[in-house]
Amino acid sequence: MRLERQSFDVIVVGSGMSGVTAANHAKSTGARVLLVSKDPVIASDSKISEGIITVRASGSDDDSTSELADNVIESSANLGNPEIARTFAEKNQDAYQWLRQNGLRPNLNPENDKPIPFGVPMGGHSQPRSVKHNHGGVEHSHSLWQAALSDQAITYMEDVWFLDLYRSDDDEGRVLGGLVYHAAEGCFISVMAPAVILAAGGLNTLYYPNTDTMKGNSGDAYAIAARAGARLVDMEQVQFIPFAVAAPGSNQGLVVGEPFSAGALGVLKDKDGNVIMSEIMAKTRAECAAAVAVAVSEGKGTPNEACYLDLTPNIKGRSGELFKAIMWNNFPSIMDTVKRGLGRAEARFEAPWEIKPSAHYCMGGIDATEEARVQDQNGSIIPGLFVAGQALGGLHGGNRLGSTSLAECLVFGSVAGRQAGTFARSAPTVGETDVAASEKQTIDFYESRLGQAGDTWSIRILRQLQAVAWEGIGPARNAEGIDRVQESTKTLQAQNEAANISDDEKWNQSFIDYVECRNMLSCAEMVSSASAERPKSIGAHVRLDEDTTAPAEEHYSTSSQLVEDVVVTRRVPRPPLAPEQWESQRRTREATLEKFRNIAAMSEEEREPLLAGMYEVLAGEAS
Amino acid sequence: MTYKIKLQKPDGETEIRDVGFEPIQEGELPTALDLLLQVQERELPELAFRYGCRNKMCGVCTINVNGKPRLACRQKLKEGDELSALSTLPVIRDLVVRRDQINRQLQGRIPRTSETRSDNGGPVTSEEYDSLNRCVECYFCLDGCPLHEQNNDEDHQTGLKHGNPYAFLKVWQAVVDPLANEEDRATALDVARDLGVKTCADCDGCKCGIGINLMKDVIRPLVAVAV
Repeated sequence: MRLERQSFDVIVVGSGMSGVTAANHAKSTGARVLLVSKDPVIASDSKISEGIITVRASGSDDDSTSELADNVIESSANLGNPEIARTFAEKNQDAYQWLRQNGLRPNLNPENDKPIPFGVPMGGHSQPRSVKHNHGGVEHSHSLWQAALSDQAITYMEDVWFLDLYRSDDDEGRVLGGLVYHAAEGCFISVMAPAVILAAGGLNTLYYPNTDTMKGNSGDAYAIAARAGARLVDMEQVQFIPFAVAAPGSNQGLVVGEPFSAGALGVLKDKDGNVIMSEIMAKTRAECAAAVAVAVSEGKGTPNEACYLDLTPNIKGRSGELFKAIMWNNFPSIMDTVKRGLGRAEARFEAPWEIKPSAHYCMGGIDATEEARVQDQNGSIIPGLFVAGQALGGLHGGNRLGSTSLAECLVFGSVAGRQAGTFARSAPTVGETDVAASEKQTIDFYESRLGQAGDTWSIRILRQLQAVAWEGIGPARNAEGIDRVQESTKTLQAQNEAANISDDEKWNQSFIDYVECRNMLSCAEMVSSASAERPKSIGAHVRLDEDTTAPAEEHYSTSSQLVEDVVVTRRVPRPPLAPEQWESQRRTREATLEKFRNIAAMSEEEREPLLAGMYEVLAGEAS
Repeated sequence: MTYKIKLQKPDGETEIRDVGFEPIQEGELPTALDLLLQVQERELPELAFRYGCRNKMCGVCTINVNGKPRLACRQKLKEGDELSALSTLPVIRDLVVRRDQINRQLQGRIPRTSETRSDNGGPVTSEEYDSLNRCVECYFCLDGCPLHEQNNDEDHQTGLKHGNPYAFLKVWQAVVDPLANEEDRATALDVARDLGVKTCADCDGCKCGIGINLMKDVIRPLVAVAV
């Protein structure tokens, strides 16, 4: 493959919200920035998201940074890193303000000029502070476009796969840039730079087609970091949205609802119509996903390994009209998926929805300080390596507080950008002799794969991996299934390394598939290894082979790393929630559940005005 | 069911390949993306095509079906339909076209819309400004654009000279921004003139892939003030 060399101060890998935010902030320090992405610039999970962003104190003046940080940590089942949560809360408003400076125009409350949040607290928040935007994530794309492209300062390259990092071979092991494959130009580019920001998080393509995220979610950032010696935290914690299209085809995996969508009276049913969960509105995503997964594992699922979300009890009377209006007005794109993917009667809520969970967010990630500096296996900083957005681990632990993903991209994008820019500007320049050894090793490895003849293709290996991953490390897991993933991963890794790969220069699809499949296999290794270290249910998935009612005796995060090409996971102690915290959370929760139980138990005459009142509040806020 | 896919190598060599499709669900027509995914898995493992969200939101899977631009993730196919790369951008391989030159043409030229830019006491946004945020950059609108067509192969390599409806949408958003000052508006209109908006005055119109009324909400009002 033809080779070019280029030199920058900072390379940003990924051009979603975290990458563009990072590139813009690095630029503002005076650094020369290269922004690379394999998809077209800004086409990302941020762009296709619902677009809701946590903005502290948007709902009331009485909303301290510690209250928000506490919400994050409580939601994480105390697995989150308190310093990262504090930084998140402290910089949240400024980070959102930056997006507004780049053109975002939220709906403002005329009385105080603050962006208007949903009137009710979203999952896990102690108060309303989740701000909705008229056109969802695509609305933010305009601001990101300006942040990236409104001047000439940022060099951007799309159709570019970042392959591996360069590190110096001395004790310091500083980052020296990395090798990229430019598919449109048909060449490798060796990029010399003293700082690299990994902003290419997400690994949900591991669960395709049971995922609602971009195809590009091939876990590149995690695998690249692990190969460079970084450690990764809580990799077993993958968030699943409970209600997505189950039937195979174009719409499988696309989201049709959240616990909120169940309304006050919606219930989950198994294939025979027996109720398996009620009071869904008061349940977490993880609890709903677990209920479906458990029913399926017990043979009570449909042939599509799904259950039914029955919303028909919600649509009687005036409250029913309000319920329907809330769903269609607030979630038009989701309701469009319902109509297209489930059917017309389903979209009128007149027939139960056949649903199953879908992979949505990788809550674990690359271990870093609150300054977004990546740590190696001994907890030392890797000089010059930074991380932002979904790729960053440590904020969400076992459960992500609602509406924090975009906020996380903004906060840690700005932190990583500034840190990396400042670092790079004071770091020694990286020249060809500095990178020579690392560059040669990296190029030799990838060159050796080009033009190799094999028995199969990486795209087929990936499809096998995806099926195995959904079974073994999906929303419901057991020791046997996790073992099976670990076994299969080894076999598939050997196959992938020997796959058919063409030696074409321009848009070498088999090489691209090889690279992504390799990264996905590394992620499968990390997720399964970390899952094996978590034999109790805590957080995003359920363990079918353990007593799920008893609390774990030991409270810890998992920390995974590559040791001589094998993933090793160990436990890192975390403080358990204090008994009084557990008790207070339990009581709050019990009260909410009780409220919904009472509503369900009422006579229709008694219930109707209450529900209408409740939905009126919600509908009012919607408009 | 059989369909056709136009394969194209980087050196320009093309081949129309007949491909089959095994229905995923009885009686259901596949989308173009369903077909591409199945063909890649079963028949043509090196088939090159772009896609992202499978849900009409990311804007990357635009291809031509029977010569017309369509979002592959939502386009239902009929027997015999032919899938090919967008004809308005240079093909890299198979159904993948080069796209980065479209934004590169605009980089550093359009004044930034910013909430901190002006404090005229009026509303900070408008329906007009807001609704243009719906653009997902699918580049559907390049189809049939007589202005964009004037860019030759070399322009696609070294920098586009002539504009397109997407470029004008970005310009027009800067103009209708209620917080923009007169200087910024003038700069933005100069960009439109430089990109050749004059041509739009005599044009029958362009079409948006996701339902923005480009003629009514962008082109005609822009022509009215810029030409």
